[in-house]
Amino acid sequence: MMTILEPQSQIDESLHEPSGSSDARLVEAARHGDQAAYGELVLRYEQRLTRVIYRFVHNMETAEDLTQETFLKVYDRLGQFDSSRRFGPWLFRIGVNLTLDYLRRKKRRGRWSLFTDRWKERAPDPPVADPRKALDLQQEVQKVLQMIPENYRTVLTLRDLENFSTSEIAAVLHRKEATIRWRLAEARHRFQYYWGKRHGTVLPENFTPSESAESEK
Amino acid sequence: MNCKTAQRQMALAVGEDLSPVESQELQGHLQGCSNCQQTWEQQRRGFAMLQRSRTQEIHPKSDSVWPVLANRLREREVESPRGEFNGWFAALAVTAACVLVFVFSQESSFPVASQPRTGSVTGGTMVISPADLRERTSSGPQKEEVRPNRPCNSAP
Ligand SMILES: [Zn+2]
Repeated sequence: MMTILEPQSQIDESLHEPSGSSDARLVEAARHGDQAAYGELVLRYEQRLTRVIYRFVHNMETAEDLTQETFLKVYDRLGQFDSSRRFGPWLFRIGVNLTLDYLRRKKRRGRWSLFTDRWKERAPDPPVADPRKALDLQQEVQKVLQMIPENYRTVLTLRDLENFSTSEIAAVLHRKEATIRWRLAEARHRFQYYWGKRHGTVLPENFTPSESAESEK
Repeated sequence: MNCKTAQRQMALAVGEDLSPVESQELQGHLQGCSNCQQTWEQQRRGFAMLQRSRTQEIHPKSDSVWPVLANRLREREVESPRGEFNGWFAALAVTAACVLVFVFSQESSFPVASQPRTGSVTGGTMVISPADLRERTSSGPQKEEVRPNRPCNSAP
């Protein structure tokens, strides 16, 4: 008998405000030049942000650099922040966009013009402490993820590796939740498809990734 | 529910991203469709791989980026008073230019309002520090850059 689990409440440590001063109050203070208030926001979100960025770049130094750049950019844009909205998704949107821009630049640049960029090229961190099998699995999963188009991969990474809810991803990526669900389904489909192809899993006949453009339902 | 829809729903179901109603509909389809049952098993396996791969703990190298970040913000603050100083010079230069233009316009027969745009050339550009130019790739708000323009622009 097949069972499909029903949606449970999401474990979500990232975008919900911790107790203490509200994010909104800290943002307001930071806007008026209170750097300590901004420091508190940084302390609240930096670990989560670094982890999320790391999922995309696979190098801790790069992830920390990008985290810093994100917080600088956010600081410069505090005046543009719509205080009727939540700070967390806005911060992550800027961080994820910065990270994707970085990855696009890196991809465009290819291998020959390393010196033109102020970001040092860094190899992915070797996952030292893990047993051999876990390493192989992670590397293999990474390879398959790279085969998935960025739009879908981003959603998959945030949902399945970082446990954001679909509504949070919608807020971070500034898309409708229906669009996120569409991308998520497509991403999981493709992951499964390419995984099966690489590992010789027999795929059902009717199982191919969709080629159609996504609908903004 | 047809098989195509069922497959989309399965991809959501593996990660518990379906509503109870959607979930029930899918279960109804799966009970009568062996092809989709096979897909469901594949989906679950693929999803399990993804979940297993995320167990690696991610530890940032430094305790916090804030000390470095605070320094960078402070460095920029140190630069901005110099900017204001330059801004003062710019404002003085603009004011002087306006006064000169005004004096000359009094002597000539041209109306005052047609003159003062000459002063604004020196206005805005001096106050943005190189570091700011480097850092602020975004079009974020910049605090001091426009002020020196105003004395002249407001004249006409
Ligand atoms: Zn079916």
